[in-house]
Amino acid sequence: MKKLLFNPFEKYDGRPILVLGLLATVIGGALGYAFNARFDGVLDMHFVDSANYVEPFTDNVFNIAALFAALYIAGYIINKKTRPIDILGTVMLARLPFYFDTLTNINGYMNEFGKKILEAGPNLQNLDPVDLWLPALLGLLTLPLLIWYIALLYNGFKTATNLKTTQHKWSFALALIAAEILSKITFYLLYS
Amino acid sequence: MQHHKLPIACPSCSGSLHVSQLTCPSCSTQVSGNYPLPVLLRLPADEQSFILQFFLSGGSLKEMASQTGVSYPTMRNRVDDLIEKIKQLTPTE
Repeated sequence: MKKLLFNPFEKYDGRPILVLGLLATVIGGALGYAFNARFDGVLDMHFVDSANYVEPFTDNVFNIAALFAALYIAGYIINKKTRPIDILGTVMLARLPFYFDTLTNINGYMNEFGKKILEAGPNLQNLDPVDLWLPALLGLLTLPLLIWYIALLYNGFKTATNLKTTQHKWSFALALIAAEILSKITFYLLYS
Repeated sequence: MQHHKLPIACPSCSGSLHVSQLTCPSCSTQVSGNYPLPVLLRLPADEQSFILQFFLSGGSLKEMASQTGVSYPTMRNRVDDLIEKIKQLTPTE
């Protein structure tokens, strides 16, 4: 079960993973729309007052494209036999845990909390303790989901490229950072 | 008949073993000498059977992957690792 959750790529490949990845992307877009989330970066998600049904989907398309480009280039440098379909499937499926993080904004809860924090400024003591603890606990949910996301990305990349050495692991890390920068530049150019 | 596992490494120093005697099972003629083991026999039994299975499946990675219940990249990685190992065993060939 653990292997299936963290490394399904060892057993499944190509089309099944790609189909699951497509399904994950649709789920991600729907959750983003339902809970007003914007995925404004490969490793970013922010809540807004109202997200229309197109925005979370297009966000995900740009994030998937940035991740795919960076990881495929890194993968091809590591191993010329790396297949695009394996990297694309990995990228699409790996983002699924990240989409679940949108559930923390049920009824706009996290978005309201963000506003309260901004309004309170340095006077956090004026806030009701419940208003602080519950979002903090919900925020803690983000960490395991982010770890799950990165673990899936790493395991999929490892299987697709036959990654072995420390240098290869650094290539993965650098590709992830490059994808984040690329996505941030894209969103800046598109929405600023 | 019980098949004994062919020892490929020295139990004392882990060095590669050589063949020093061969026997004909029908007339018991014995041949003595010092013959290095062929490359494939220097691989562990599971890797030998993997290569045999690969050969019998017509060298199809896809078929091997579906037979063993692993993904295509996992199977390709295993073959690549084995190729690398065989290359290291035969540096001059």
